[in-house]
Parts: sequence; structure tokens; C-alpha cells
Amino acid sequence: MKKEIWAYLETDSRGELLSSSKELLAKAGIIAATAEEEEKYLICALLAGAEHDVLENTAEKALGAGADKAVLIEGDELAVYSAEFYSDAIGRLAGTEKPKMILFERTTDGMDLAPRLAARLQAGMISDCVDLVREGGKLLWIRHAFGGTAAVSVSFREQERTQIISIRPGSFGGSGRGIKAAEPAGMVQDAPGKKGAITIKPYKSADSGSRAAGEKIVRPALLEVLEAAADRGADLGTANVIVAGGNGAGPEGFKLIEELADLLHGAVGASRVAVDKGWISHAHLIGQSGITVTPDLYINCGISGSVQHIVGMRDAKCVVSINKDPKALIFNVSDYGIVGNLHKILPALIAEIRRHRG
Amino acid sequence: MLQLMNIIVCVKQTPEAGRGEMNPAAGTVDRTSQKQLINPFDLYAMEAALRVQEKAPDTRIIALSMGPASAASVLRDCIGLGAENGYLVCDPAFAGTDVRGTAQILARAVRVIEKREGIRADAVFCGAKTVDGGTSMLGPELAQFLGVPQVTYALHCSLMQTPEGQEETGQQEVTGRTGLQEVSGETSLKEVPAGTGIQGTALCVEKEDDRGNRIYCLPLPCLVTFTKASFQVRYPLIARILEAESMELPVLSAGDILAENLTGHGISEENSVKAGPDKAAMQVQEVELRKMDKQSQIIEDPDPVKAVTVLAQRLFSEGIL
Repeated sequence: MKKEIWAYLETDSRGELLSSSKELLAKAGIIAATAEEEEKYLICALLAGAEHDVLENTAEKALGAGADKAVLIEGDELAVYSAEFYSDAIGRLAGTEKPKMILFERTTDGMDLAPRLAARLQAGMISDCVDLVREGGKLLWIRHAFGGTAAVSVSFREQERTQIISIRPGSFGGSGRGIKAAEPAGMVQDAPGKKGAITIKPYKSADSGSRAAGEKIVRPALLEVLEAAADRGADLGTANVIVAGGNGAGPEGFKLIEELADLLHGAVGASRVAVDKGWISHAHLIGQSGITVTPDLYINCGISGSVQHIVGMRDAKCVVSINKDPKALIFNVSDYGIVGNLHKILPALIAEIRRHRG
Repeated sequence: MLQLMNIIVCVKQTPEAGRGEMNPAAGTVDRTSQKQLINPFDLYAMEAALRVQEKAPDTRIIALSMGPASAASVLRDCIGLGAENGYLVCDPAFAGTDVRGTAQILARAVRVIEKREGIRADAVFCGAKTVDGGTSMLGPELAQFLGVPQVTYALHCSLMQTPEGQEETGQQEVTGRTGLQEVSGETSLKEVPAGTGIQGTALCVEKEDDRGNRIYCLPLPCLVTFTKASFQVRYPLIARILEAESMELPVLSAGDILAENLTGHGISEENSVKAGPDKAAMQVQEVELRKMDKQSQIIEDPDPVKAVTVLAQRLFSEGIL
């Protein structure tokens, strides 16, 4: 096994590293330090695509953001992301290079690709990991199960196989709520490109030796990208403050919720009912079928507190609940609660914060 | 011609969310009340299969589960909803198998079902995650071991069809709205756009994506994992539930799974199937309950301004705001 940790990096449409990918490089640093024995682990930025110049440009940014080296897998079949070709391309390279670990951020693509790659390598995988500890010379990866009600520590049994790990955004580093996007971004220095550290690996699926002749890789054809929920929803995973609304909020309530979120430079979240009623887009959904958030402050309004919602926000540092029902379950998991009508309380709270700030 | 669709829906028996496994306030597990039910995300997969069947009534739906004998109940749930049959992979030798081994075993189970039923599994539908382990890994791993393309975190899907007389034009990327046809009548199908290189019947799948949902044309055979869509899942029919109770469900043992001479793209050799805890890639060291020790301070004041003043003072003094 090579003492290398590969970090699979993603870019936006302009070729800029996603903030989640910068975060992943910072996490790779923590993992390397935790795993280090006699020999240091090298952190390798892993990028795949078709455009050499774009990839090289991104690789240089990754080298400035904590990577020791970069590997670019280049091929026409990688022009558009697909789990089928990307898992084959990365799997083939990892099969010969044998890195100790390949890290993924738990993004839409990360969760699509990482398990398929694990199966391609017949390797073990830990998904949605939130922390790493070393105990008796053994690395224990921590993840949550049973809707966040249990912390499970898991180790890899096969030391001679590449290990695949996907990591929850906004997690890691001690309490499981360490790194936020802002911190690793701060680490990015405009370091001059270390050209020698970039390796290019061409990819063509037909070159694969591991498949029988004539077996082609088939992938779905992307027909359309629907308009993105171009709003604060996408920032939920890394937001320090979230103001969320539920059944009790209504469309009018969400206007107040947005106003308060703006005031606190936070993001807007929602319960399942609010999304189903069309008051807000799915990107804002917090809970079992949405995303899990860990802000410093979680203010929720008109959310009764179903188990499905609580699993998505129980790790917020401070929970403030506003609900007219004093028996609402949400109060059981709150630090502070106000019993009352959110349509009256939110304007008062907004005014109070403005007054306090002068 | 619309091809006859065979869909295998993979389901898992999991603890009922919010009932047995834990009391969020106390952080305790009450195992006595722990009820085992079908994983809710698998119900979305089942619903998606039933919706395909509504458009193409010849569609065959077969449920598949791996677990203890008691897991037969989730297969009967699927039959109650409209599946024609349910296969249970059940063997003490498979107890303690991790996700990798489970995906290998289920891939071989799909091939066994194909042989026994004399069909091709055109689509395998799974829940995007489970409410117990919640790894979201099984679907993509199974797709790889079956050697088929995948779409994960789908909201819904429908059938697509190449227009008659359309020639193969080679694969190229299709972008924009050009390809997608609106379904006007009950029986009309979306057309597979030219230029995708996809022939015959395919699935049109909407995938949930934070950067904007994506619409894919997914060629058969394929695998799709489903997350919660905005529509409700249906209730089972009483008559079908009763019928399911009296049905004898086929059970696949380790012998059935490993002895059959199964080959094909991705399928693991018998001797490389990693069944049981000894061959697992992962080892669970410890499971710890995550207690919630919130000291809730509830403010009840009929005057909202007064209530807010009390709250704001505390938040400011603790540096939270």
C-alpha cells in the first residue's frame, strides 16, 4: 500500500473548487496527522475530467490548499460526471497505485460515486463519517446510525486494501462539529503551482484489462438540469445559523423567517410539511429525507418536532424553538423555547435584535 | 413496441422510526416496543415500480429481501401493495454480512431470480438509504456488481420509448430541453431523444441534486435508488394482504446463491463472495447512544415582546447572538 490519501475533488461549472472540496483537503490533513505512524501520509488531490487546462488550473489551487500532489485522470468519457465511467477510471488507477485511502465529501456526486468505486475495488467503505479517533494503534471512524441516535465506531479489517471513506460536510475535528467551510478556505494561499507535483493519467474505458472483451460501460444520458434552487438552501450544511419553519409557519411565516435569517447571516431551513405544501424548495429540507445540519444556532418556528425532523437538527449547538403548543415535542430537544404565536414573536425578535445592534 | 418490464424491488426490514429505537428526549432505547417494519425509503421504490406498472400493465414486480425468516413480512407488505411475489435470501451463513457482501449476494440473487422466472431484470429499484444503518451504499454497490448503470436519489421515474423508425445515431451529449416530451395522454410515453444512443424502452428519472435536479434517460437494464418524492405512497389492498399471508414465499439459501453457475458482468465468483462477519470489510467496535441532555428553558408569557426580551437577553449574554 502507498502511504497516500487521495481526496476526490469537485468543481463548479467554472472550474472553481467547491467549498466542500476545500473542506475535504483540510480534513485529509487531519486524517493524515491522526493516521501517521513512522512515515507521513501524502495528500493527493484527485481530479477527473476531459479538459486538461481546466483540470491543471484546479490542481494548482488544490496544491495551494493543502494537497502534496495531484493526479488528473483525463479522458473524453469523463467530460460529464457519471458514476459508471468515473468509478471505472478511479478504480483502475487505484488498483495499480494502491493508495491507503480515498476520501469523498458526502455530496450528491460523492454519495453516487464512492460506493460504486468501493464495489469496483471490492473494498470496504464507511459512509457519512463525522470523526476519526486513534485507539490502541487502531483508527476508529465515527458515524451516526439509527437516525442520529447512535454513534457507531467502525474500523477497517483489511489493511491491504484501499479504504473508501465519505465524510459529512461541516463535521470532523474533535466534537464532530469542527471544520466549517470558512476555515479551510482561509488556509488557501496563493502558492505558486508546484508543476512537478501534478501527474496526468489518460483514461479510455476500452483500455480496461479487467473486463471481458465487448462489455461496454453504459451510463444514463443527462437530458436536462432543472433550475437550481438558487437560494440559501444549498448553504445549510455549513451555515452557523439556521432559521427554520414548519407547518405552523405558512407562506407569511416564511417571509419573517427569511428576514430573521438575513439579519443573522444565516440559512433558511424547513420541515417536511413546509416543503410538501410548497412554501419552500426541497433544498431547504432538514431531517430524515433531507439533510442533517449542525449550526451553532438553530431557531425553529412552528415545527412540532417529529422524530424525522429531530434526527436532522439534534446536533445543533443551541436550539431555540417557537411554538404555540406547550406540549410540542420540539421543546424536549430545545435549549430555549417560547410558547406563542410565531407571527407575533418573530417580528418582536427581529425588532429586538435590530435594537440591540443599534 | 413497449418492452415488457420486469422490476425487482429490494427491501429491508428495519426498526420502526420513532417508535422503538429511541426516545429523543431521554436518549434511551426501548427494545421491547421495537417493531420491525419495511424501510420507509424502500416503500418509495415500491411506489415507483407500481407507477410504472400503471402505465405499462404487463410490468412484473418481484420483491427481494435478505434477512432473518421474520423479514418475510416485508415481502408480504410488498405483495399487499401489488408485487406478484417475494424472494427471501435467508441463511445463517449470511448473518453478520456487511454492505459489500450483501451487495454481492443480492446481485447473485437477482441472477437466480432471472433464471427461475425466465426473465431479465430490466430494472432493480432500491430505497436510497435505510433508517437503521443509513449508509446509502447498497444501491450503487449492487449496480456495480450487476454491471448496470445507475441513478441514485431519484424522486420519480417514468417509461421512455424510442420513436418508431428512429435509427441509431451514436452517443453524444444532449443538453437543453430539446429531448423531453410532455406526456399528454394516459398511454403516451416520453420519447427517448435522438443522440443519446439509447434504443428501445428506457426510464426517464428525475434525480434530486442540490445544484438543480437532473433528468436522466436511463437505459435498461439498470438500477435506481429512490428518496422521498412529494407524492404519497399508496396503502395496500386488504384482499392482497390476505392473499400474501397464505402465499409460500421462495427462500434462497446460501446453497442457492453460491452453487448456481452464475456469470456475467460484475457478478462475483462464488469463492469471492464475502459473506458473514469473518469476511466483512468493516468491524463495528462500539455502538454508543447519543444522549440529548438539553436543559430546556421554556418561556411562557402572553406578551410576545416580553417573552422575546427574556430570550434575547439570555442569547446575548451567552454570546449566542
